[in-house]
Amino acid sequence: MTEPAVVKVVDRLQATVQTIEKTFSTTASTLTTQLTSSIATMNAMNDVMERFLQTSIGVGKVSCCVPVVAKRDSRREHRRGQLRDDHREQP
Amino acid sequence: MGSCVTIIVSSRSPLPIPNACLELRLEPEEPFAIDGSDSETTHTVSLPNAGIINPAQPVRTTLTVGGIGLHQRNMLVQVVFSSPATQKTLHSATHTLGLYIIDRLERSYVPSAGYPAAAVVGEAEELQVGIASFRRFFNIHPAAGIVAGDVAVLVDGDRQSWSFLVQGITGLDKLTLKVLSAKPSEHDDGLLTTTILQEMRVVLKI
Repeated sequence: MTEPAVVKVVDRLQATVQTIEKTFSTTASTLTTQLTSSIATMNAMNDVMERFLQTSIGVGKVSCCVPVVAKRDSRREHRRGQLRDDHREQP
Repeated sequence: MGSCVTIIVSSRSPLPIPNACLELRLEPEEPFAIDGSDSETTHTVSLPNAGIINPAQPVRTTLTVGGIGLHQRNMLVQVVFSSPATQKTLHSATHTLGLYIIDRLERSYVPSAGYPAAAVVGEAEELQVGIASFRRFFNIHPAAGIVAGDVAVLVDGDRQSWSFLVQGITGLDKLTLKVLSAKPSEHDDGLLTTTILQEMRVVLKI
């Protein structure tokens, strides 16, 4: 191969390399932008969800009374206490 | 003497809420005991179902609150849980539950106690209450009638007691009570009795 022909091939190769570099650079930049945007969107959605969860919980007092104290009929009081424990374990 | 409080926690979220527990404080802030524990200003109480609050499945827990004597207090309740997405620890909005004095008194009802209305002398305090809530509060059987002369009693252990005479029934839904006797401790300046009557007006509303 003559020298001019070699130079021509090298020039072509350099041009190709530049094109590839440019393409990758653009793609990487686009991907970084998209990823950053997705992360921001996801964080915003998490914030909204967490705020919703914080306000979606309701707490109420169902009943309030004097606790059962073993005093007169121990068997009866035990049964009552058992019921209370069973009640506590209910989902 | 403490009181048994049943707390119900529900969620309107479609997601299950994991690792949930209750954080309890009093207002005004003061130490108190839960289920016989040491007195502290803040208590963390675990919830049943491994702390998972499923959608549309309220979770109930019953606690004994002690160490606050016969004082009206508000209990501040926050649900602490993990974010399902980030595992960050989150606090729910603060919910307030009233801890009434009358809920810490033993209740009894004496039918046909035989007290004539005339037994109430002087300017006895009078209050009107709803029959349905009165029945619920004093656990009066639905088949048992309520008539004038019956007596409802609130007792704080063996120390203090308040008796209420059923003086009359108006229509189908309300009755008139008169304070038959109030035996607060010698240290009470009448404020306790006044508070108890206020609470009865709120809890036994028509």
